[in-house]
Amino acid sequence: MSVGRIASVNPKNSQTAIQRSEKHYALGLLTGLLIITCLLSLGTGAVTIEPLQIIAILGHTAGIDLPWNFTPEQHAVLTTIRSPRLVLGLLVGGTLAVSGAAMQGLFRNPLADPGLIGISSGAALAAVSVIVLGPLFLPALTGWLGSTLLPLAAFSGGFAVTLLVYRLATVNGTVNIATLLLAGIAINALSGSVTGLLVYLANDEQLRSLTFWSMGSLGGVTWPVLLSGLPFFLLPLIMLPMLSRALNALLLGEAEAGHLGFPVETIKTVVIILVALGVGVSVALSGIIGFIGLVTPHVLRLWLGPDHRILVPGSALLGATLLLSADLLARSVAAPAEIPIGIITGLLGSPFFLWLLLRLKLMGD
Amino acid sequence: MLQANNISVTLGRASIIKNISLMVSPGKFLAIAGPNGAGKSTLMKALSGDLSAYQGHISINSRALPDWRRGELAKIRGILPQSASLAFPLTVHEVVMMGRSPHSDKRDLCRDEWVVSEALLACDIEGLRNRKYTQLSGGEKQRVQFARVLAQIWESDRDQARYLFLDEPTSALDLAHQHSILRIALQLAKTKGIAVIAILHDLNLAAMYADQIAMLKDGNIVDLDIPDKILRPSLIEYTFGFKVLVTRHPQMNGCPMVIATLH
Repeated sequence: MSVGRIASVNPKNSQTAIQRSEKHYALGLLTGLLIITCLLSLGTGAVTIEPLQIIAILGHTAGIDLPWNFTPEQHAVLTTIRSPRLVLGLLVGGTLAVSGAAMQGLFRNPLADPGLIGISSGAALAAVSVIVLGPLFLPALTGWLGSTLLPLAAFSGGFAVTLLVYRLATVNGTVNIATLLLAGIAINALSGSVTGLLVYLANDEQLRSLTFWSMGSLGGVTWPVLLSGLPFFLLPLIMLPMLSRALNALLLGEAEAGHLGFPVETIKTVVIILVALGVGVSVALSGIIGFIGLVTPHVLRLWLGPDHRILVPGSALLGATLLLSADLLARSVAAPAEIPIGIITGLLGSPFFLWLLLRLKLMGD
Repeated sequence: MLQANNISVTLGRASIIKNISLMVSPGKFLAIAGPNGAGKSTLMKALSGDLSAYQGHISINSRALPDWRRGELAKIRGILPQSASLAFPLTVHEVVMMGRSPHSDKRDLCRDEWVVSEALLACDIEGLRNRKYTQLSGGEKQRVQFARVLAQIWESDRDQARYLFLDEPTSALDLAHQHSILRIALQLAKTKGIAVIAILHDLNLAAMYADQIAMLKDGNIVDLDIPDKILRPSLIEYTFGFKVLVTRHPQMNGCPMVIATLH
């Protein structure tokens, strides 16, 4: 009897194995897509650089001479302007998408997005306050903490908002999504008003920073700034995929995940801190960029299903690809002028969100 | 063995259950019955380790409940929720496989696949294996959740007694599936020695499947005994404030059946 049983199970095993390898194949495909986007992003602009030249320049920096020629100008543009921008795009896109995937899992709702529920604007509000009010009230602190003050403030703002909306929206252990989105609206409105108020107080230089905050941009980043923010990016990018199994269990419900032995409260807190860190540093270095966290996990869920073990790493890859593509669009549509990237993601993301609502409505009824 | 001595739970100033003592041995099926608000769910939460704010002493397999680590407890006790809201399109196989996650410290994928298949078979839902959970009917969803809980406690961890908690498992199910879930639970109790603790509203279901019934009213145990002793017109009228007749099941010798009276 036991032989018969094993025989009857085996084909299903191999079937599962095929599904699993299909999913890993998908991750490979996403990686390939990301590499192509990276080469396009590095090569496109006022100075064109061919893919082979990019490889040659990177080789040259690493001390390897490759047989493809490039000009000193191309070398300078690539290493000082486009590379930091590319790395920032990779980190911000990946982090926002991974944070979105984790939030949607935590709230058990596909509409949870760091932007929609106000985390980004909370982070931006804190950052804007530091820019405008910092020199007035905390000159010593500004000097002392220097470039880490901004990411730190953005993280605190994001964290406070995450905690607030979670508390507001949780009733008897279940998250009320209507309250969640309403809280997001209130916080976005509050953030908008306070930012408007700060605009009156700001001087010219500060005003330019404020515009940057409200619309987002990957431009103007330098290696030292990138390095100061790196740990804040890496923590969520590395740790959130490690929580995939717990996020899967949380989809069943908090009580059910607890019954399966997962320390639910600890996991919730860790996810919230990681998301606030990631979104905070993203906002600190690139301003508010909406919809990446909403769109990316969705597209992947439609393609690969809701298993976080694939969804979270896949989101990192696709989120980076999408943001780099949006950046490419932002700086080539009206070249040499540059459209703020938040406008591009908003233009493309909002219709997607509406389509999503329509789809959920049709499925619900 | 699961033992509870003088369990009380107070929420704010209201006392939900008062000085309840009971005991469930391996292989036994205990039904908890009683009117709405009698404290059935609270009692079950305390027994299953969901609720830590109780007075009294609960021990599972001779170890006090607070001394159990969450992960260890998950290996020997499964809880079937009244209703589970899963809004993401996981496949049935993926949902049931989640039941195996407490055992991931000695991960054996082949073994897990086998257990999942057995659990699907036991719940008669092998055909749903690759379907999306979100597209299933309410009854099918409940059976998938049941299979998940069965996969969790399918095998004994170091020969420890296992426990299956069912919180009104039949409320979303039609007649045939009500009986099939309880029949599976009873079968597991008899073949695997799993102790079953189920909240049941339907006294006739309790009569047919339970070894013992604990009748609760206002947070107290009215009586805890075999169905034949519990399901008496006087006791039911006292508990529910409702007059009933008790007759015998035509096929099951000695099994009482409760019928409402005409008013």
